[in-house]
Amino acid sequence: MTRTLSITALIFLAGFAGACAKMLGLEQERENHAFEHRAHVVEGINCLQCHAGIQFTGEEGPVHFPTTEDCVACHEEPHNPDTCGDCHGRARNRHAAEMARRHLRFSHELHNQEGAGDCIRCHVNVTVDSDYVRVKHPTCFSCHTHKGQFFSRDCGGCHIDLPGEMTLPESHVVHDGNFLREHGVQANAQADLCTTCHTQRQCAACHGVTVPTIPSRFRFDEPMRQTMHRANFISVHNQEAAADPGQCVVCHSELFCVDCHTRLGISGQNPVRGNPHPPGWSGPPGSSNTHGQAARLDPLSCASCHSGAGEALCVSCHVVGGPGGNPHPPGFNSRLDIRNDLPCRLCHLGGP
Amino acid sequence: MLLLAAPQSPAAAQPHSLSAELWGQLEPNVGLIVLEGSTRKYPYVEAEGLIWAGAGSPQIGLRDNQMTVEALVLNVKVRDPKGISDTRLGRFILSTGAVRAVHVDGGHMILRAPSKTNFEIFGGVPVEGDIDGRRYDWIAGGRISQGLGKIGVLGASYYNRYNSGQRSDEEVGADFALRPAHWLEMAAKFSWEIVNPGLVEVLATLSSATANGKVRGEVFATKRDPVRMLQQTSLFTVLGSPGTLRTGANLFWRSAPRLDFWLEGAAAEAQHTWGWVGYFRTVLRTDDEGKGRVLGEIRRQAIPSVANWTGFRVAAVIPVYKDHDNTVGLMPEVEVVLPDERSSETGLVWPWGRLALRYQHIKGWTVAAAAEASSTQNVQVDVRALARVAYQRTWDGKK
Repeated sequence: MTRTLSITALIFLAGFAGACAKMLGLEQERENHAFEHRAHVVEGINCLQCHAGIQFTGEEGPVHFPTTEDCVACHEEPHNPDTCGDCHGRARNRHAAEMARRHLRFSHELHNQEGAGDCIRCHVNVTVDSDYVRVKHPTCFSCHTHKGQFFSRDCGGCHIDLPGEMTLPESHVVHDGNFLREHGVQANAQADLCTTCHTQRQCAACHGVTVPTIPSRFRFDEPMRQTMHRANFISVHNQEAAADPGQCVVCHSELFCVDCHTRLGISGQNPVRGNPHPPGWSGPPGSSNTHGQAARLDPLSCASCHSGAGEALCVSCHVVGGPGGNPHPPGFNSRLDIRNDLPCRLCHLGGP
Repeated sequence: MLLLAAPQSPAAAQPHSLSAELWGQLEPNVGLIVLEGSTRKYPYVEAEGLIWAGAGSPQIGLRDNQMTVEALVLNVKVRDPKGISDTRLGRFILSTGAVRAVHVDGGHMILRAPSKTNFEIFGGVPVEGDIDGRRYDWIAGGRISQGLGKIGVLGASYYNRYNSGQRSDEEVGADFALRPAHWLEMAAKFSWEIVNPGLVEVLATLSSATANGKVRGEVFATKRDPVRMLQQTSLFTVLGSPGTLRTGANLFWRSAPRLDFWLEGAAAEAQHTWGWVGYFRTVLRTDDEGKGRVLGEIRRQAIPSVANWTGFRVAAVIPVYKDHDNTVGLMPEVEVVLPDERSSETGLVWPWGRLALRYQHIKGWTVAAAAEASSTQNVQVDVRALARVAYQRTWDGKK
């Protein structure tokens, strides 16, 4: 009985592992693999035997992938009746080549005149078992003097539409990790590099003041998109703001909070919701109240409602000589000069 | 005739795109129409624009029940054919050196010297949108940077910003983005306020990845002084300066061809209190091309008396139908937030969920609709419907 159970469990585990392997892509449904370029090269088969006509191709036209008919011309007894390309050669690499054909300005015809049919000179990857044979920059630059254009981000001469090519930069920073945190520091250091692929619209979708709605709502059908204001952000936005108020101020004016809250009726000005502050928040001088301490811990929270015209509320008590007393923290020493003393003059009336 | 017979100049062939989008929401009712276009004539000029009009209940940029028409982006970039200069004019996002992304109506010019030294100058009027209150007058500054070939770039910058006739910001900054080895990248940015002297922001990141990209690690530190990030004309800059600091690490692991993991943890300081924040996320692709995906995420903020909650999120993209021309997908998404401090007044759990259905046609049409429901500390039950119809036409450039 125990043995039967053990065997059943083993069969179940094996099936489960097999299913997992298939699901995780460890065992693919169709075992497509890199095309055996190297084996063909070693056999001395000319590239043009399979990719016939590629040498006359200009900037447009087909990519000249061999068909099953081309394969069976030599492999007269194929081991499988299916289309050869289902297994031999990865679909994603064929797709990459198609995208390059569509969005890259390149003429095989012109290069064939120079290279005299020596495909391997540029497509070095055919000598290894890889079917990703797109030529990399160093190979191009070995003949073409594009380094200056590379430095000046002048990619458009060859790359008509870099986003269309769907080629990620070789650099691994920014796109792989926590994009939301990392992209800013990179964009500040080399923004012109970012703009070789990204449009201003992509920056403005998050950083734009006049954006009509946040990206996660506008593109509600793209849940995998990384955005600052993801799904249920609204329910914790006050806590996230308190935890890192500088993060909010990067994009939003401090007036943004009160503007939105007033529009939505979630503010102290709403008679139904009433005063958002807890009991004992403020009181006459000498009384125990908590607003001063809270303000010094999180002045941006105060600014988020009481900025602009709302500052008058604070000034009415804390004006020099007023009942509110000195609002500055211990050891405060303003280093604002007389040309930039607007906040000082609000309370220090008649001061120098 | 000769012109017609001549082969098309490569410079004449560039991508152009136009798109129109209708977006609507029920309860509260909002309608938007978004028009977008871009064009390029290599190597001299490129232009892009996005304007929108909307009406209905208040959203970010909408006044209640008033028609609003706005431009999000509207700019032209002119380029010297030899790459000596780039000049962008119009409405765009300015982000360089010490300047944190600012939406401006203005200009930005880059001049490149053969020594790989770049000189940037910029200026304009920060966009205020439809927000009431004080108006920022203008911003201007510059940056000088030195390219180090493949290794990266070093930069130094300065800008000032005026508000109501007074200088509200005057910052100097330094930055770099370096790749000293193919497996190592680092970038940092530092900015210092001059009007109210003190550190404004330090961002630093150092990352390393394996050659096959399956594992990537990063350490980072972010220090911000939110009071100095405010306009220095604000009354609230006199209340002291409780900065925030986050430092931690992020790990990415592609454990199987279709399975990715991210783990991030950081020590966090806010309001003179230390705590931690972090998340664990996994994405499983259900096919080799990644058209179907399932995401699971746990997020935690634990900074005592500041932010204490745990969130669980599950999302998926489920391909329902596909043929050569048409695809239909289903996108469910659920997030549940458990606040540490629970009361009957604020609710014990804040759930949120959305179910979206999308149809796409190969010719550029997209039609999507969704139903959404949530419960927060402010609204017990909130149910909404969303819809989007979009059409995009792109001219590939070579045709």
